Amino acid sequence: MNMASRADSSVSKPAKETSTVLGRSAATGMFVLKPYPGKGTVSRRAVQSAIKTVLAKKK
Amino acid sequence: MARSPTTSTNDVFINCPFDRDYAPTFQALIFTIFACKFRPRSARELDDGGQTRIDKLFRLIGECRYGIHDLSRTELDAANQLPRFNMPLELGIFMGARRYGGEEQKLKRILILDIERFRYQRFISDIAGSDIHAHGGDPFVALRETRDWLKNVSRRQIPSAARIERLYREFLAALPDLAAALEFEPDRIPYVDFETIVTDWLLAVPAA
Repeated sequence: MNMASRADSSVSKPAKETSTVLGRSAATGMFVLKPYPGKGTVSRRAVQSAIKTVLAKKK
Repeated sequence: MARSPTTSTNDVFINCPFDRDYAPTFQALIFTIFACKFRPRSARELDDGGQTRIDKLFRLIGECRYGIHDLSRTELDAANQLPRFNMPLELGIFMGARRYGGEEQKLKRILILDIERFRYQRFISDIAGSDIHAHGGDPFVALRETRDWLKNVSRRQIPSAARIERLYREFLAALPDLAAALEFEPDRIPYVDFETIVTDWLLAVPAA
């Protein structure tokens, strides 16, 4: 069978989804999925704060 | 008889080297997968106790619809003069799950990456006829190959390779400052933290 014809939409019994959406990216126009759960070294809040600072500097 | 694990149609297993030289390509793959609205999965998740490592790998592979397997590291290890066998082993497990697993496992899709397209014939010729793509050790080629393959096998609407590459270059330009702010070395950011940085970057960066 052609690989391309066996797309997700052709699955008769959809797989159980464990992934969840974090939000929508304006840059890609796509939803962004939450990473698989794991213990990080730094908090998500710290990451968001660092990104905000770096993006502000770019302007 | 054990039931086949449930797969996620969003999960992409990355089977690749974890050494420092490969880190730029590994990071490019993670970024691309998130940018295309998929979720990367890796043996890097398997640090917690409990099951043996191989059992964790079986579970992880069983949960992923898609698998990217990079066979770049075939050279002998400088210290031991032995090759690394983990990548071919995990590719074999993934192929075995697709061949012998249940209905969902049979829908698994595989992308095999290597430095050169036909080099595999000299060390793992049994996989002839598989979808093997060369990246030449260039993370941006790996990015494009991964994006194009995900588009082909999923038939989903995903951003163009040019857009993902532009965003990734912007991300790389900001990464040293981000790493410094979080007190990481840019090429030694822990896996889980790197994923958080990528996903929150994608959410925060404005449209061009």
